[in-house]
Amino acid sequence: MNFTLVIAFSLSIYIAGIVAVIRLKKINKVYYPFLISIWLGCLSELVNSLLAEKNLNSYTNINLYILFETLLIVLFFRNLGLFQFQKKLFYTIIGGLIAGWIIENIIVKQIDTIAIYFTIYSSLIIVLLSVTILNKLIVSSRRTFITNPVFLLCIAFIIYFTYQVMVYAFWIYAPQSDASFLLKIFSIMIYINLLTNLIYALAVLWMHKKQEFTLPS
Amino acid sequence: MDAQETRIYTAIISTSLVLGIIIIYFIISIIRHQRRNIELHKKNILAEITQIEKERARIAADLHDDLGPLLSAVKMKINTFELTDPDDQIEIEKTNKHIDDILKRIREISFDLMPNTLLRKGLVKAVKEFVDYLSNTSKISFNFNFDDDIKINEQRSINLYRIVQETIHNTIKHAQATQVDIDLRAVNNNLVLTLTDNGIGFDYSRESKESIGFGLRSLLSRTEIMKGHMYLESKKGKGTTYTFEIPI
Repeated sequence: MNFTLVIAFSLSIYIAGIVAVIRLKKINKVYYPFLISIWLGCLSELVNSLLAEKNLNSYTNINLYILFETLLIVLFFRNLGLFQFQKKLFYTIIGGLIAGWIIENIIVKQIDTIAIYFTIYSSLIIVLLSVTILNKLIVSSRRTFITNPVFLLCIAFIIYFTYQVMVYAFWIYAPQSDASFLLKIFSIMIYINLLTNLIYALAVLWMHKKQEFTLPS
Repeated sequence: MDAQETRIYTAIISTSLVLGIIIIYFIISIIRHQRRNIELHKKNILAEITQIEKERARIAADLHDDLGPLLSAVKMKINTFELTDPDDQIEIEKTNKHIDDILKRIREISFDLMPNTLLRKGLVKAVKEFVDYLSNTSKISFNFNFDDDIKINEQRSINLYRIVQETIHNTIKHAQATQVDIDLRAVNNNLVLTLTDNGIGFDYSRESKESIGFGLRSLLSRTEIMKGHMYLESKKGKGTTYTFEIPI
C-alpha cells in the first residue's frame, strides 16, 4: 500500500478531533474522556508520522498511547454508569490494565518493542465492556440507535478492538523474520482504523449537551 | 511470500471477512430488533394510557354529573325540614356544612381526574386554571409563559396536561420550591415545554440509576407516545429543570 495513503488513512482521526473541538461547548461532560482519547489519538498519529518519516522506532509512543486510550475509554464507560453498582470492578480493571502494561513494557520487555499481549488484553476488556454497555442500551434506550452516540461508539469499539485482537493473535504466530509479511498482516488494521475514525466523527456529531432521560437498567 | 506465509495470509483474510459479516449481522439485527421493540413498547403504552384516560374521564363525569347533583338534591331536601328544636337546627347546619365540603371535594377530584376546561378550551387555559388553583392553595408561586398561537390536538393536550400535573405534583412533594416557571413554546417544529423550580434539587445521575419513581416513568411514557424527548437537569441545591420536546 502507498505510504502517503497509509498516513492519510491514519490521520482520519483528525476529522473526529476537529469536529470535537468545534462542538465542544455543545457536548455533555460525560463524553469528555472519549474526546480526550481522540485528541491523544491525533497527537499520537502525528508523532508516529514524524517518526516514520525519519525511520525512527515509534513503539514507545504507540505503547503509551494504547495505555492512555484504554484507561480513558474505561473512564468513559464509568461516566455512562457502567460501574454504578460495582465500583470495585472499575478499580480492579484500571489496576489490572496498569499492572499488565508495566509487566509487558517494563519488566518482561522494553517499552520500545511491540506490546502484543497487553494490546490483546486491553482490546478484549474494551470489547467486553462495549458489549455490556450495548446490552444496557437495548434495555433502557427508546431512542433510535442510528443517532445514538453511545451506540455508535460501542459498535466502533467492538469493530476496531475485535480486529485488533485477531490481527495481533495472528502476529504472534506469523514468522517474525519477514517484516514485509508482518506489515501485510497489519494492513487490515489501516482500513478498520479508517472506518472506526469515521464512526467516531459521526458519533461526535450526535453528542449533545443535554442527556436524554432514560429508564435505569 | 512463501507457501506458509500465503496460507497464513489467506487464513487472516478469511477470518477477517467472516468476522466482518458477523459484526455487520450483529449491528443490523440489534437495530432492527430495537426498532420493533420501541414500536411494540409505544403501542402498549398508548393502549394503557388511552384506557386510563377513558376511565378517568368516566369517573370524573360520574362524580360531577351524578354524585354532585344527587348530593345537592339531598341538601335541598334537608333544608326543607321545618325544625323547631334548636339542637336539630344546629345538626342540620352541621350536615349542610359536611355536604358542602363533600361537594367541594368532589369538584376537586373531578377536576383532577379530567378538567372540563382541558376538553373545552384547550391546554393553555387548563394549565392556567390549574396553576391559578395551586397558587391559591400552596405556598409556591407560578409563572406561566406560553405562545398564543399554539395548536395541539386533544390527545396531545391531555398528555401534556398530565405531564404538567405530574411534574408540579413532584415539585410540591419533594422539591421544597417557592417558585415554578412553566414555559410552553413552539420552536423549530417542536413543542417545547419547560418546567423549572428553585427547589433543593437532587443528584439525578445517582438517584436515577438506582430507581426512578412511578411519576417519572409516567412522564417518560407520555413523552414517548408523543414521539418526544424528555430531559431532566438537576443538581443538589440548584433546583430542577424538566424539558419536554414534542414534534408538532
